[in-house]
Amino acid sequence: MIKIENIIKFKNVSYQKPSFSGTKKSKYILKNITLNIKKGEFVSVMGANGCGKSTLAKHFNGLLLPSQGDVIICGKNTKNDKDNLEIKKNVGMIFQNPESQIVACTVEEEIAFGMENLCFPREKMKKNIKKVLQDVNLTDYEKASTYFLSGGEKQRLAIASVLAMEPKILVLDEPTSMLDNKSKGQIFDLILKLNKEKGITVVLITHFINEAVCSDRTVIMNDGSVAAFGNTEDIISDINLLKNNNLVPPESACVLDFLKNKGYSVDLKAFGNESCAKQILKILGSIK
Amino acid sequence: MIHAENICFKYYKDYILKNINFSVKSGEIFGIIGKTGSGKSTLVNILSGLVKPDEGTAFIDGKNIFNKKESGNLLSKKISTVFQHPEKQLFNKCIYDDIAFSMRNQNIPEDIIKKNIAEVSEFLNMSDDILNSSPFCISGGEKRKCALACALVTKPKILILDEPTSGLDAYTANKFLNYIKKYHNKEKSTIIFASNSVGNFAYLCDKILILDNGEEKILDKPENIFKKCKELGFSAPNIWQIISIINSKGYNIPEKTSTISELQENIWDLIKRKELKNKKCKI
Amino acid sequence: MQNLTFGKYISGDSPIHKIDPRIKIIASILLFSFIFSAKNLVSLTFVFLALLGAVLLSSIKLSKFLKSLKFILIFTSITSFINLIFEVYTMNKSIFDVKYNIVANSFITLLKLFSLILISSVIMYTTSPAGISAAIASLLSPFKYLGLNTEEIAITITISLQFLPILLSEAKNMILIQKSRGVSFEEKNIVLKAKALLFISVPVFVLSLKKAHELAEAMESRCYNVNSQRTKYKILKLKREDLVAIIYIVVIILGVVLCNQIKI
Repeated sequence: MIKIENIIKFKNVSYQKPSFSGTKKSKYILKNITLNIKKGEFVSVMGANGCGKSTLAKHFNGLLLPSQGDVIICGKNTKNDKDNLEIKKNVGMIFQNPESQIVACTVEEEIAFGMENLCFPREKMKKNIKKVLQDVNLTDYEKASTYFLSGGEKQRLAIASVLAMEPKILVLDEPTSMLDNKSKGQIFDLILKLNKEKGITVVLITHFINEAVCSDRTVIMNDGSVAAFGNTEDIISDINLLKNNNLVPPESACVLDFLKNKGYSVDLKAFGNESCAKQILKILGSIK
Repeated sequence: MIHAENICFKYYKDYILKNINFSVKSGEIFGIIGKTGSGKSTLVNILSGLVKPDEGTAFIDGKNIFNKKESGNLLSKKISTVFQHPEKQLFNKCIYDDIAFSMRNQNIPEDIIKKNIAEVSEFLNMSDDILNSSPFCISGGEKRKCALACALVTKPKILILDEPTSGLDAYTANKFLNYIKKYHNKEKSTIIFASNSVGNFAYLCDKILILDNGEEKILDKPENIFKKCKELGFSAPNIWQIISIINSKGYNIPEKTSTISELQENIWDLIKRKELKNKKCKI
Repeated sequence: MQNLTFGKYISGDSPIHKIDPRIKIIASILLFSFIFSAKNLVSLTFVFLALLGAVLLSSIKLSKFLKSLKFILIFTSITSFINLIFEVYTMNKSIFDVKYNIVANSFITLLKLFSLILISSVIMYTTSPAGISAAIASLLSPFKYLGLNTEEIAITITISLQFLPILLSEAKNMILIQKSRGVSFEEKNIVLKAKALLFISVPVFVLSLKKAHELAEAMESRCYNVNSQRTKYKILKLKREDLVAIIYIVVIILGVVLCNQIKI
């Protein structure tokens, strides 16, 4: 059997914000985090505002270095200066605000930016630009001005610019939080496609349960530590776990949990709106 | 109490808003839902009295808000608006000064300002620590609460909120909506929500207006809006979706159910009633 | 969508649009200096007509140019009228002499200003922000041998051009927000006006710092390093249209020099 290796390893990672005020010790934002993520996995990271999700995200590509512990990406430690470039090439980061990621005035130059930094030859840049525009569904926008793109289009452009650098891992920090519902859906479908069709390992930081639901495994963070890390189905159907970590469970999961406590036989893991309604109808139908 | 009459707004030659007409009674909660580009933010700016429409106008208690003689200057109209991502507006040395900002601009004496801030900080559970902190050193959720305090401190008769829970996680968003509900229960003020999706606030509304490309598409009660969500291109709230699937098979869970505990109670009632009915049939 | 204006740039396909932006920048600098050095009406009229030719070739609506020219026309007329009154009543010259000189001088000033505006307008309307920053980067590149980090300057210009409209729209929003908090922007008092400006600039400044920080993180995540080598996607190459443009500009300059020799 081929063992799927861990492409991302966090070993006892703690992070303390650098203190500028001399003696006053700043608090730990990340506390003793240990995570192992396999190649090709789709992992979601959930937690209430302020639990350290964004700080965690910035450790994946070496933007921030741990105060204690190590972060190993594709076998390379983020603390090694000489591996810095390789790690940033392998880990593509997408941030929350689509506007604050755009450097250039036109779409093609924006996509070229990352490749220019990696010293790709011009022919390769041209090829990659056409390829990634197709991947993100922005094929006619090659010469378009970045200023006139909508929020969703800007975020797709950000994903395209990162994809052009041929990363193995994609880390997205609340990518849909500033977008409207239609764009949220489009971006999420794109992320899912990149994971399933291209085998890119995806780490999605989100506070939307309906996005986390499609992932393979979920990390629940609370106050800088990992409160839980396991199969998404198990985690999201555990109402008490979510409530204890300041997360709001899906309404359907709450109803199923309620019925289970009343003694009815329900599948807690089938918690979508439709499946929940079907299970309730089944219970009602079985009353003879 | 608020009456919008034939409001039209143009940007160069394009109509951003066309023939917007609606009325909101005093103390009602009104929702405006429209996708990006539907003119929702422009309508919010017009109702706040900040931007004059090209045609038509808005009346509050019969007075035209764009006529200075009839309704005085902006703040005397007792309208407070919480804009999208209101954290941007906080810039003073400390939160206390930011909350006091609008009152100081009206030359209200400092002792009254102190009293009002004490009231609003108690209402929103804001500690003295937060009041003395710089707005740049507190968390996003706290900032949003402070921005709400800035709006509530003047005890507005009309509170307008543009995307109040955008960017907040579900837990903080629910807490935020609860504060607004609490304020409404206390002061019976008129509340207008504006959003680009049918969120949890929709349950609080007495009426909802759907905007599409600058025009009024539908103006109706929330339950009727939820029924048409699919064809309008919106997602209905989860609780309503569960109820509608169950009710489509002949059952009768009240559509006004808006919270998880209500839903659980109603489903339990339904099960118990059916069991009782079946027992009676057997006897 | 590509035809929308951004700042002053109007996208299009005219021969002027196609000229290499470096040629346009160098041409504008040269033409500016030659216009100032024009000595008589003949040379100025020659320059003005040549520039008008470029305006017509750019296929940009004349009404756009007329707007800025209108202001100059009004300004020059007022100053000429004031000059006329000054010369007649203080220098005791005959009205006829004064009138001719004033009219001739006013006309020369008018033509100079018109020409300057035409040059700047044509360049601004037909050169994209991306083109401007690429041109500046290219023109500054010889200075890298003097230790100047021209890459950094080029990226700074590109990012500024990119962010300017975003910050402007944030400022517009902030005006509405602070207006709703009771700040009045119609104050006549300078101190109050300055205070009102502060209430906009501080939050917008904070916002721009935040965006700058976020952008820096995004750029670093895409392997940007100020001191490292980078390849270039867009390379400016001289084309046939550029040769025609260079010839046209040389003809204008020679024309001005020759016309300056004519004595009126």
